[in-house]
Amino acid sequence: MLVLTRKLGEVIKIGDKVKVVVVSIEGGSVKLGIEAPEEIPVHREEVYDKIAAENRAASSGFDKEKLQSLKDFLSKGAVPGRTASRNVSSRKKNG
Amino acid sequence: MNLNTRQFGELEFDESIVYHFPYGLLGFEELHKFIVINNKDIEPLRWLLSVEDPDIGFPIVEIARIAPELNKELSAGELKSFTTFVVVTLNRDPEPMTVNLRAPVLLNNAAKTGKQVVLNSDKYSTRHEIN
Repeated sequence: MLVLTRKLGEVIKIGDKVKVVVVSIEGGSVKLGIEAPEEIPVHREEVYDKIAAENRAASSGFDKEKLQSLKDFLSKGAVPGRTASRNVSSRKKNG
Repeated sequence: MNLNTRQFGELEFDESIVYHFPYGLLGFEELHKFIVINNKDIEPLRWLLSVEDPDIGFPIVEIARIAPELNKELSAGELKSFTTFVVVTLNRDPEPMTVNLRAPVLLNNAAKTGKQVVLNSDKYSTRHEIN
């Protein structure tokens, strides 16, 4: 791995299209500014890994029972994490 | 075009319905062409199926139907051009189904393009339980 020392405000260029700037250094954290063209997506590694793993898990099979439970869930007019609004809307429905 | 799929059998479709994902989905960067299966049997889910590898498909559901507040995290431009979805993970029993709120999938029906975006805020889980 190439290791470079940079001071606050200094820049690293990767190829001719990607720039990494040291924006701030505070405590144990370094804030970086990254300029990259759209075709080079930039992600925090742990977030990328989590989403890629979740995509892999989602890309597997089809399950009729699970689908039914999703239908039931949606027919309640529910929004995840909003139990209260679910109760309100079902009360309304029942008059 | 013809596609032989495990889950939906033999599919025949016009190339004009294919969505182009220039950067794929995270972890699936090599897949660029998808079709959206939308039929009564799987409603309200739709299936985002890879044309290049029909064994790879993602159940998706419209954000408006399942987590409308999530649309506020997307830009006005994105909301104007794209229909917004979350990817559903059905999971093995007894685990409940989850949706990935952190990385919505956006489909532009007119331009037939798509992308997966990653929200900056970590308050949105990749495995949000929905039952």
